[in-house]
Amino acid sequence: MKDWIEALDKNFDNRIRLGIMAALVVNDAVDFNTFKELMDVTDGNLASHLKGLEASSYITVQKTFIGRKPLTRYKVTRQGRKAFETHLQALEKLIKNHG
Amino acid sequence: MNPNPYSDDIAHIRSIMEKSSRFLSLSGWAGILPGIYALIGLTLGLFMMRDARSSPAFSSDYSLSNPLFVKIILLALAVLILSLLTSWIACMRKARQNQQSTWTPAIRNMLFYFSIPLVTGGIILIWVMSREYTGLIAPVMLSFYGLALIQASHFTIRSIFWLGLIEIALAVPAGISGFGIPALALGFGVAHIVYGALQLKNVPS
Repeated sequence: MKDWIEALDKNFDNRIRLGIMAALVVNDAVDFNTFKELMDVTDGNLASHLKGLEASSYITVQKTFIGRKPLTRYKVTRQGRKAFETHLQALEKLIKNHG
Repeated sequence: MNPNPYSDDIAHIRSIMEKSSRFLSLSGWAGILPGIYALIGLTLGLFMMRDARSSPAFSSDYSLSNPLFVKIILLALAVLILSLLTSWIACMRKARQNQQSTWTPAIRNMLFYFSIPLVTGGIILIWVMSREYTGLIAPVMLSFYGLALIQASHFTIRSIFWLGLIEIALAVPAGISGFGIPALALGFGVAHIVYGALQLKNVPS
């Protein structure tokens, strides 16, 4: 029991971060506005969580332009995918133990 | 089981995965109306053929020099375009009602994978018609359309898969002489209307 709580990733102790990772593991790339639509979150809050995950090298940022409009797209890194999978396993074990 | 934060987390993750990878605002009207168009189109086509047969200038020639053949192709294209437009408008309206984005990766994927078998079927259909294998028109249309639906089902409501399977199954009797038009009426008309109606009943929009 204790072990599984320790296995939970501190990077994912927040709903918005979990949401970001969930969207990224099933999509090649996700842009900023799509995250906003998915999760009902303010720009500043979302940006700070994206920065946090980027700092942990769990996601990468890609800045491009469509015409003159900037488009920021995010992708999950291999490290991020692995961390998210481990976190999910820990969550599942904890739920089982709670019964 | 008392609600604990971990199962809430899992539920949240599942919902985001689902929302971000599937287009779920498929409207029932996107099935019902094209189904009705298909039945009207088939009926008009049958009338045109009957009228042409009773005229002295009738020819069963399957070439663009035969006005009946051209008229029937134009009618089929009109039904196709009208159906696609109607479905698109119905789905976009429903997406806006559900306050979902109308242009997401899920929609793009759905359209892309839906169109591959459809375009392939279209190419084969052109060859089938140019070589006058008219008995193959109905089975080719039904089977490729069924494949297109099965492809799309990965990116939208899962039950579209079963509609696709029904279309492919109908391609079997559709190859029998005389069964082509009834199979088209069942596959493109009745199956769409029934599926659309079930969809409307499940998720009132």
